[in-house]
Amino acid sequence: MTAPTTAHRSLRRRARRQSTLQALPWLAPALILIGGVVVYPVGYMIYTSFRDLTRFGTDKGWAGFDNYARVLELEHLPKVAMNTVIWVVGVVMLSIGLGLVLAQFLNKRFPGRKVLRMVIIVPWAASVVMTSTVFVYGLDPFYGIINRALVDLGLLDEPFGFLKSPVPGFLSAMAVAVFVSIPFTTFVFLAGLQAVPHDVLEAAQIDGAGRVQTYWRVVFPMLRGAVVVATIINVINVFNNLPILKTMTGAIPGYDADTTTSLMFKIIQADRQIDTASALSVLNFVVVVVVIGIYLRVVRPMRED
Amino acid sequence: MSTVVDRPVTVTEVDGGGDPPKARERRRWGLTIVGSIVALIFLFPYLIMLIGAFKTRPEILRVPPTYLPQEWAPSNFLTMWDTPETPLPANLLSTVVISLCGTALALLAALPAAYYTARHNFRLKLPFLLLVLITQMLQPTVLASGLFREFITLEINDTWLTMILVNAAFNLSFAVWIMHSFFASVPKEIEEAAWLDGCSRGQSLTRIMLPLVWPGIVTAVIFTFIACWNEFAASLILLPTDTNQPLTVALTRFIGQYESAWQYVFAVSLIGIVPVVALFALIEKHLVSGLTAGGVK
Amino acid sequence: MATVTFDGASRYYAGNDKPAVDQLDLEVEDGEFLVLVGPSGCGKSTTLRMLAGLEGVDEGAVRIGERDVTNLPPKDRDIAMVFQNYALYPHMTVADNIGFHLKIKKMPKAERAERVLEAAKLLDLEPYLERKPAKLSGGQRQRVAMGRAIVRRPQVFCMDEPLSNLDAKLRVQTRTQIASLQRRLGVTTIYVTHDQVEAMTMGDRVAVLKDGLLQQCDTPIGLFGRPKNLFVAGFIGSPAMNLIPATVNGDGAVIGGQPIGLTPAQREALTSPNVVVGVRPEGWTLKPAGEGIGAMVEVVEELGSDQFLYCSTSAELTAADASEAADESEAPHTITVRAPGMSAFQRGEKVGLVPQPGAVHLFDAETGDRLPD
Repeated sequence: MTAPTTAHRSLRRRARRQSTLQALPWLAPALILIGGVVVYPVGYMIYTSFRDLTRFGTDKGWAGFDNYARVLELEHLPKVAMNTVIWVVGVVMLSIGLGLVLAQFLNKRFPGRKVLRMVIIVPWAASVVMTSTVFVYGLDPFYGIINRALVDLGLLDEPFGFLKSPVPGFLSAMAVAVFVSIPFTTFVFLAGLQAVPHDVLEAAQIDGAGRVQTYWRVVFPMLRGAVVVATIINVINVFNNLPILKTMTGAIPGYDADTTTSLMFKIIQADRQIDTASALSVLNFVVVVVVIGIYLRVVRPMRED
Repeated sequence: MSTVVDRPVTVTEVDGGGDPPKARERRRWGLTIVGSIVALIFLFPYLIMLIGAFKTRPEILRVPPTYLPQEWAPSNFLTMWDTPETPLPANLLSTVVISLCGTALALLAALPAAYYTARHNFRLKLPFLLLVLITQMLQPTVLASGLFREFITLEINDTWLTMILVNAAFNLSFAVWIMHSFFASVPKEIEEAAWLDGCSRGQSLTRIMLPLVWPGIVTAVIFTFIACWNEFAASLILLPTDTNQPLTVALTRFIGQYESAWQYVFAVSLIGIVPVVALFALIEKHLVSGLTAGGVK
Repeated sequence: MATVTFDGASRYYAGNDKPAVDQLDLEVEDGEFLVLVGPSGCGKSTTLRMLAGLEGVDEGAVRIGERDVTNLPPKDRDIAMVFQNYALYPHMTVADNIGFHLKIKKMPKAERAERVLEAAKLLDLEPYLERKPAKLSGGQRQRVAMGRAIVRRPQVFCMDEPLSNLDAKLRVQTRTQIASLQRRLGVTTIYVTHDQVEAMTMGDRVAVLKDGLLQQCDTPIGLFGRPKNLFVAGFIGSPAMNLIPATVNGDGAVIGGQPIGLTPAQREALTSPNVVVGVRPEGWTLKPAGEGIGAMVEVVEELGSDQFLYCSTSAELTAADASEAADESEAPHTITVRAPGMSAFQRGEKVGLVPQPGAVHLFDAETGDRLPD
């Protein structure tokens, strides 16, 4: 054909530039909001992480990587980093596992299923601070009602100060984190399960697959997208979670029950070292992005099969 | 073909199909019993909350604790409004104003973006959606110092407006995500038919698209509202003045180093939880389809 | 009412240097029913959407009557369209669906109701006017989509495979209904389909497209009787025309021992000795084995009214007296032959095939073009 391709190409380029301009009015409100409330502070955070700031915010100039060095030299950092890994991996894996079981259960038909679905929503809807505060009260060694119930049930000999020392405190906080993460996770899997076509299950039955085989070989692979979404969102939420640790283990002295997120909060609130906290925030964010990147690389959710 | 959101066939139980009806019936009720236990596990913290809200101050701190109040004290719900710890009426007003305005602002920003990205291809679409996604990975406490400084420069520090902006921005991504998938689930031809029927872009949006994606908008609005309502960490840092603080922060003021007014903590918590649970129950039906449409396919 | 003109109209898609529609020149007369047909991806839907304004025109122009609509938005083109999936508004009743355009145009309520009722009567939709589309059968939805188009009395109807979601029986019924409705209303109609039977039965004229290029635009008879090239020859007609490659040697070509003569003008037009001989299934005369092209019946397809024989040729089956003319190296062909319904042919039976006079189409194997008659 008579195709003056350069003319066509410039024609199309003009069309594309036009389309980007046309998009602007529709995206502008979102862009302004994100720019003002997210991008600017992110920029400022990165900037301050390279500055030397006093406790009162006076800028004493360029600091190079001093702040980062200070973070990495923190005496308690190895412990806190370890805690963070246990916190994220433990909470996310337990949430995913229990969420899968619960979703499978809720997908069955039985009287009261609708009510149960409503009930499971409650921890999702309720404020995390409020939920964890109940546990702070309930686990108190003196007036804690959960403690009394555990003693009455014979599971404990005497009330135990769950939140008085780092290890049990941290584990209790993890349990609460799992508790509040399960509803969302379950509903993501429920959505995934409902997208499994009925005829595929029938085909598996006709092919002679038992119930366990059907689940692991047919249903679970089709849930992979849901697992990926649930994992990523849970990793982000659990990693960034401050309220649970703040309310449940915030009163424990030292850093033995801290994750990097609650450590950062302590550096801001107690030590008022904005510059060091900024460096830690930058490192935190980089870690989240890298972890999610590696995860996506490994599971490759877009893989077609 | 013309229903908007074609729901996949629900997977109901295939197994057990061969059992005699009576056995199947018994099995179902067995599931109900298991379900009740699960329900109890998920409800027990809130039962503790409910019961605690009706205990008197001496009773709630009694050692050993009582399971049920020996003396019911509904008066907690009246006396909590006037305590030395926190100005609760102002806190409730803060929560309501911040949540309503934050939700409105998020919707205003998310709706056009969600519609446009669902319908049009342009070169910066992917970068834009990535930017929106990244906001999901951050959380406001991380950016507190930058936000604080910015709000001081704008002379709006320690006001409701700061939290309205923060809530709107950090919930934008979820709202865009949900509404985007709802818009995308409406066949393109329906909108084209509207254009051919003489609609301008605005008309086709208001007369055709909005009625069709209404469930998605309601879902996004309720999600955003609940997130704003429950926001804690950023308010704790950005709103030092007690009259500006929302309920979530006010609550912690009842918990002292040496003595805590737990009965008020629980009464306030109930007030904070009941409305959002009710709202959430309204969209329960859409949760599954909303999450499916959101790329869980 | 109006004519529709495509004047060198082209459409490019991002990331693809080959145009989806390539310099299309097409003139549709006032009141004409024109069918655009072709395999998927040939650009037929894009052409229709360019006319409707749903797809931009990168080069050239589109005119409705004397009006250049190339840059007009869809709402100002006075075009109605029936979509493949009908695109009914799910939240509106049938009556509201049909009357939506009139409502947008701010027609008074009473007049609007009258127009909607009139259209509904025409399409037997009266009992369903208050239902939502989700409560209708496929055929009823299709009629609502039609109603939405005709209530407007537009200058042009665009129809994009409107029957492809119906079952086979309903499709045949609706096909005739649409055709007769169009003739009654006299509205210029452009109809897109991939089904050549639909194209042949409905259109005043049929335009065949392939890879964005117009292959031929003619009446169904012209298309069937004188396909301009190999693609059209193979695409139009069912079962498809038998296309048998052969080599011209002297005055003509030989297939299966059967000589096919070429006129001097045809020999002149050939660009190489390679020719393709086309004979439709109904263009053969069946002879006893030993005459014409020797072939063996492989499959018998009985349709009642007709019978299709799928035969294979090979040199050893050819009659002895013709065998010296046969090219020994000639590969066996499969030839489809139409026989009268309920004929007694059996699988494995040997037959002779002779093309009827005038039933032979000749094409240049290199260019694909038809050789002059």
